[in-house]
Amino acid sequence: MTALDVDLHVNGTEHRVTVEPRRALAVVLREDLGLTGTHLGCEHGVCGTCTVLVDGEPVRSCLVLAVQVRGRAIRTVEGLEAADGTPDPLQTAFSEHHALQCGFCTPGFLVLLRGALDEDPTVVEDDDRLDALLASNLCRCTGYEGIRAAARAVGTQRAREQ
Amino acid sequence: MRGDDRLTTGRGRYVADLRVAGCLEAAFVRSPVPHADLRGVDPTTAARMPGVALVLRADDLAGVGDVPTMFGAEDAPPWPPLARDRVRHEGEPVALVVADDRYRAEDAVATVALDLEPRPGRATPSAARQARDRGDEPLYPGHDDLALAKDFGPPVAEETWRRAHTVVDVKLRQQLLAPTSLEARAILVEPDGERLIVHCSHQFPHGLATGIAGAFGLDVGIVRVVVPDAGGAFGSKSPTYPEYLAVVAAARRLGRPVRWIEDRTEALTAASRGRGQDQRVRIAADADGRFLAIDLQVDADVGAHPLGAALPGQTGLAASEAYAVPEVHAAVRSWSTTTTPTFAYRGAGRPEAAYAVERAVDELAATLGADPVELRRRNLIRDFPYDTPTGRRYDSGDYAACLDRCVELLEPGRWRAEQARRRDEGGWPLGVGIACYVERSGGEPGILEEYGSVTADDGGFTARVGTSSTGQPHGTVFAALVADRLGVAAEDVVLVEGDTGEVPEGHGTFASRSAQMGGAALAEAADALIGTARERAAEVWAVAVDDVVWDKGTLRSGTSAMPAGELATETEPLRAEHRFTSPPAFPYGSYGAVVEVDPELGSVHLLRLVAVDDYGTVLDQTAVHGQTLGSIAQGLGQVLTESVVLDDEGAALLRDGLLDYLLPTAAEMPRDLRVDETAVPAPDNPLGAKGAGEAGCIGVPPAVVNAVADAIRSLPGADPTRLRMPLTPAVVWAALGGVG
Amino acid sequence: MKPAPFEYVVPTTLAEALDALATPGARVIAGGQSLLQDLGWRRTEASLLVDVADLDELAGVHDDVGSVRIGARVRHVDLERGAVAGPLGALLVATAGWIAHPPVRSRGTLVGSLCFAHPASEWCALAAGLGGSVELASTRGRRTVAVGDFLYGPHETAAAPDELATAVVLPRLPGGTRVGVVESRRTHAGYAHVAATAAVLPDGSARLGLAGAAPTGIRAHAAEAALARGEDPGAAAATVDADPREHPHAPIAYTRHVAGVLVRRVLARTEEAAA
Repeated sequence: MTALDVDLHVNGTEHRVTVEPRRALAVVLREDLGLTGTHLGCEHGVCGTCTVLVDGEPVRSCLVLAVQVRGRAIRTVEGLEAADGTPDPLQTAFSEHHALQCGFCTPGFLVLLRGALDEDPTVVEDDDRLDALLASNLCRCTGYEGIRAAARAVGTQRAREQ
Repeated sequence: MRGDDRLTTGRGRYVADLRVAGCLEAAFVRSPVPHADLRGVDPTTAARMPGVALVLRADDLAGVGDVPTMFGAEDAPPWPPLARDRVRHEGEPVALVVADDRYRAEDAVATVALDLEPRPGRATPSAARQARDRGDEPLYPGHDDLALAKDFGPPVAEETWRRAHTVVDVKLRQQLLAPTSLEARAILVEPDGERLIVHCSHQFPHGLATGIAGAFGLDVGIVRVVVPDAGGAFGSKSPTYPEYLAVVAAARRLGRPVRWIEDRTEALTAASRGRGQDQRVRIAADADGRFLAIDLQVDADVGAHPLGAALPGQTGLAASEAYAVPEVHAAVRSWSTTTTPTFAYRGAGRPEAAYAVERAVDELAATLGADPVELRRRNLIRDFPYDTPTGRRYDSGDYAACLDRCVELLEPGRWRAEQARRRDEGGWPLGVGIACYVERSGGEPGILEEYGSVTADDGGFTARVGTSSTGQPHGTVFAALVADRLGVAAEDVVLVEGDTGEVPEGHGTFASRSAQMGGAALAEAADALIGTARERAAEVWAVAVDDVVWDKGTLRSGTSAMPAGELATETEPLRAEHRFTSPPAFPYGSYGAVVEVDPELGSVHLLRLVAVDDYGTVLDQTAVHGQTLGSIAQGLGQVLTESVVLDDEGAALLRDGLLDYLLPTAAEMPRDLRVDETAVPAPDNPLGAKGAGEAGCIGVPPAVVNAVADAIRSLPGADPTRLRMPLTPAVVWAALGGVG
Repeated sequence: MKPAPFEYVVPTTLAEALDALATPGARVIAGGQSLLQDLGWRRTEASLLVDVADLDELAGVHDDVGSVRIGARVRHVDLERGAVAGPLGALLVATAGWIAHPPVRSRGTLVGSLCFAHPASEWCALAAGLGGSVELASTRGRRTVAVGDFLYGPHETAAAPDELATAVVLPRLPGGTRVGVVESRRTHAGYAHVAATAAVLPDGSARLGLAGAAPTGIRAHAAEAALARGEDPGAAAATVDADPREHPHAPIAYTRHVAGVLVRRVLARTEEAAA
């Protein structure tokens, strides 16, 4: 099979990788670019630990081939912090609300929420919409209470700042 | 929690994230059928595939010992790491392929031809029993398919059943569950000359080191097991699994690092499962509703290897639950079946017992026309210590206060009124359920000890403990505990665990033992360090030990003062060890659920869930609360959605991974969730601590099933005894009397 | 769970794409949310993936007289955001919200779901229920197949291996049409058990779709006829339209029953929507 050259724009940095077409975006992020914050938990699109943003939209990077996202803007958990290292409010809130235990699902939830908040910051303010969003990903440790609380806290913080 | 910033920024390091030069990736060839003679494994093509470094079969592991069982039977049959001659469960490892990349390893796996001659399977304890009764050839020649039989407590006298006012007789099933940590099993083995460094997502690193050393005839001292960040375990990551031994063999043979990352299909097919019991429980009561006797019969699916054959004994030991009952007897039978081995899953025997007894108590209440809360209250144990007929000594508690608090939060009176209103005016059936439990934390004889040490140097204090976090915030809780003991800032204490090269001994993290056993060991080690430091300072200053005080990490005597680290630097390292031993502790709790049932579809909707647990003295409220919530979610998974479904041979019927094996999502969690604790200190523990971590898995299932039973009990045509877990809509619909 | 090797091309014209698809073993990839799963499980094979991402002809929604043509690149999320106007658009919005989750809806496509033909696919139910059709193209020519004929069975369609489904055409629903979708499902992580879609036209006639009730998405003709006769459409759906297969968590009798319940409920939902 023919390996292809692919330009990937990840967290504001351009990378050229040569990959077999069959390699999932998650695998290329992890193995070729060393961005191991994107995890693989099920490899069939259910658990959400591999969630990344492509052009701002959340995707399962286990169900996207790296060759499919040539030239698109990809954001991973490693790209959530501001350039000066300031954490994303979600990162702070997850810690404050004990929204993680083993941490394996955490990058996926953070990226999922970041994408959703960027699209519509009010999504965390309604319980039904928030649960529908959070139901995208699985957590086996927390029972989701901390994750809900962290997401709501970021919404409240935003509302206060306005 | 400490370390959160690494995990929220993608800087965690799980086994799959480790970058080790020259590391190869492994994939297994697994049995596609539950039971067959294995006549041949042809690796010829695989060995020639691009990138393939090695293919191993059973014949290549001639010098490797058997897979050790952990809570097994005394008469354990042979268990080679790769199946030899015969496969006995779907997914059993048959060959190992090592390649430069997982994709290429799987390409090679796909080419390995197996010559299999199928044999009939036996997927359940009853099938195993029937096969044995027929005199069929046992699963292992020369080994009884009844892998273990044990009774707990004297048999209930026939007279007791006869003179009882009421006897209920309930048959129940504990379905098989897949533990499903989001990080599945993961191991990376680095040979380093004769030594081995084993990075593994594991709950019991010292056990793994011993298991590997034993199988390869090595001195345990040359096997170093290191647990990096670990993505959950829930009981399933404490054994020395066959795959681990095969990966070690490959790494040793190649002299190169080899990693195996279990994928989700493997995890759902070939990793150990939890629960798996057929139960019959009988309770005898007098006219006042006082329990006279409990008899519990358990037939457990052990699976194809008796990895955890003795674990169902936990169910037998717990058969008294929270009640003062004169006669309690449990008969536990562990059966070999052609299924993936059954092992510990969060709760490990205690959820099974609580479910059996608490379901039967509700059926008794219904028979007697008694209020389920009052019936329980009347029978609760009140005086401690309490010796149960099955051999437990319950240490402490106020079970009634815990139940009272649960009732207060549940508000059954309010819901009963709503229930009555709906029965009169229409509306979905509503039910209220309650369940009490007593569990055991700390472990059983053999692991009722833990190692802790505290060292002082100029960098601060280092605490070492034999537990191993797979997601629990030990780094925060134990550092705070030691710091509190020493009177220093938590930031000055570093915790080291999960590394057999750094911690000389340990029994790991399971059985809700870490805070109770490890915490106590560290607390006493910290106290010992203070003593050691004062003695050392007294020597240096030539004063009496009594004249030296420990003041927040600094030794003082008169006008002399010296930080402990400086004392260690100027003399010799300051280090104190403690091996803590104690009897087990007995946490307990009361759970309540309010549900409504869609009478047409059978779906169950949780309107309120209440958990009141008593973990003794709580060390860290946030950590314990997190454990309660997580275990509640897993309890909801068992009662509502999760189930490994097998055909009669033992093959999985549902093959779409997590699209079929349904973990609860955020949308399945109840909105009205009320969690509280009572805190009666553990008398045998210097911290007063009992274990926390498994409670929700124990309390939630019976509370929810009891609530659904309550909701449907009075409906025409409904039969609550048809309810079984998971309460899928189809199951509830059938219990409602639904017919095609 | 790694796929076997395959080649990959991204044609920029339909002609190139159809030529590539004529290669033995070639498969179309649009969103890939189902295909990549099955390739990972090695349940299906591909020698070559033909990515339609750059084919302009497959993009967007086109209004025609009496119908709406939804291109093969239109994703679930596009429909969820209201790419189609009117009552049909409202039905598409409501249905899209049941498809998997946002991170899957951002990649997967309606046409892709029809081609995957999962028995529980909401899109298959909707497209069958509305009497839509699928446009197919290959180097041998073009054809249009009614959805009811396109969906053969679980994961089986009328599309030949070299055919590309370029669009689905759905009938425009007249103003005043009331629509609804209901589902039974065990958790938000799995497939629907049964889903029912409904469009009740101003003349009172209904177009009903069912997923999970038969080997593939179907139009509930018998239920529609019963409704027209003033009889119980649920009973007709359960006994005539539904043709379920046994499932470990859903016996046949139960699934039939649920199909009937959901047909009644989705019709009630359309009433609520109107009120």
